[in-house]
Amino acid sequence: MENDLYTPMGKGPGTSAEDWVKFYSSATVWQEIRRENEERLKRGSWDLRWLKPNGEVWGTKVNPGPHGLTFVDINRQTHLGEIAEHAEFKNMAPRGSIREPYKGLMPEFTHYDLTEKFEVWSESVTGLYEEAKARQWNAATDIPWDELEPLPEDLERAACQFATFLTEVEFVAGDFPSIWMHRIPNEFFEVKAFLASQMTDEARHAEVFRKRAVANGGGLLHAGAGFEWALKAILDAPSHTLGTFLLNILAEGLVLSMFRAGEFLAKTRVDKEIFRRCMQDEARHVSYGTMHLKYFLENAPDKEKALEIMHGYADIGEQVILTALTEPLLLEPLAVLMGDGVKNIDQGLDGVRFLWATMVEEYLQRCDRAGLSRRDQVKIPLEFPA
Amino acid sequence: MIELKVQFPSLDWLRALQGLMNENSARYQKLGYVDARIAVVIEADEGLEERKVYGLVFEAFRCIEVRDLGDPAELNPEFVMEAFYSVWKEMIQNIRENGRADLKHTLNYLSLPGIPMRVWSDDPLNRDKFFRYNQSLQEFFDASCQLETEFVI
Repeated sequence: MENDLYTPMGKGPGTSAEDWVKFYSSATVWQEIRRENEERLKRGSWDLRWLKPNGEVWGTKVNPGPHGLTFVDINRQTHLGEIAEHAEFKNMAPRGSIREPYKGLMPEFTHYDLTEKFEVWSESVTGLYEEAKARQWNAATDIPWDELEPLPEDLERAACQFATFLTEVEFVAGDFPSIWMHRIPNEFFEVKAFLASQMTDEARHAEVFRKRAVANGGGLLHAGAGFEWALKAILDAPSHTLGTFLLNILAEGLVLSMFRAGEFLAKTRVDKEIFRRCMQDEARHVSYGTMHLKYFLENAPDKEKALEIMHGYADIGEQVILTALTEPLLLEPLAVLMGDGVKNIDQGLDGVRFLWATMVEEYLQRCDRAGLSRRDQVKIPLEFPA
Repeated sequence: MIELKVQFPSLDWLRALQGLMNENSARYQKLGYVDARIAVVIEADEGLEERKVYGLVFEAFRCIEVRDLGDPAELNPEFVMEAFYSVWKEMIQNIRENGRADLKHTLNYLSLPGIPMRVWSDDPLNRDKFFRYNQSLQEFFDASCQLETEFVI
């Protein structure tokens, strides 16, 4: 082995002896492949095995439909659309390609460890990914920023505090998929693609609320300790399914209701436009979360245990989200916006009461839809607790 | 521009909106596609003697079907939008006056508290399609600003 080529250089990450040992350990395999390739080139012989029919599906044309050429269209071909319950290939070899003959020569990536379909799949995920791409928007140019109108200071401050809260929580909604995405093997690439679209959506949401906070002469206001603990719980989730439940069904479901209530919270057309566009994105994430939970509960090997785990986790998850939901940095600005000013904060509380009841009921409906009935044990009060 | 004079509620009124959507595909492509079957219910009041029910079917960037329904269930809709005639009338008049719904006449504003408009579905994920496609649906109804709508009363 040409060891001098592999002498560690520098002092930064990835230069430890351990990193290099790991790198060396695979060198014998790929050096053997390289040697064979070089010998073949020296012999001047071509290897055209990919030109010959080899049992692959060939000759079936796929025409674009009204939505263009989507994954849904190409997945109608059985060999492309049939998804194994267990991913055998822990590498990048595309599902549907001729990869079996090379399996022994290919590396395995240990980080591709979400190898069971029930851990990630949702029956709606392929369509949701296509929809996500079709419904992208640009926070810089699709919001009519130049139409922002001056607001009384209490309303502007409330709008800025609410925007600060949303900037904070949207950040985690982008980070959570990133923790799990690289662990999903090629077998379930549709999920990976959808999570990538969710990260793009959440980056845009964090962007639009950050911009909203400052665009009308206000600024970012208070970050909240209660929010941070709830967000930490999402990031610390012990599995993709549990975290997806906490983020996409519970937290995003509640935020979806808030965006919908944006019609009442918004004091300008700009704010309405922001809330409406974010609402559309959020509803996709909620849909993925709900349908993934359904798939998990229906397909986990031990369904009874799966249900028990979900309930146990929801018991805690609902309480930690309640911690964020009861923060004065969220409820008070909502009441001021609902009441149209700080002098009407008590009247505004009626709006918050309505929003609270709507949020909890919609959460329970989605849980019902997924097969996780929380009605008898939900830890979030059905009615606003004051 | 020649304005169409059409009566509300009627199949023709919704077909006119269908035509406007399908002629303006660039705008809807910008907003993203819509795949939904929606029942629109106009409850009788203020001069409308009989309840009217229509079905709208959207696929990708087009409204592909508009039809009369005796009952929303005939369409197997993903969600139903229902309100009294007077509510629809006020919304349409507001759109006409402002070129689009003002802040208090959007579909979402009218339906959030469940009154005066109700958006419902037996399946919460189907109801969520009202949220997922909201901007496109608002655009669909906002296009009625281009119609000269005649009301039954």
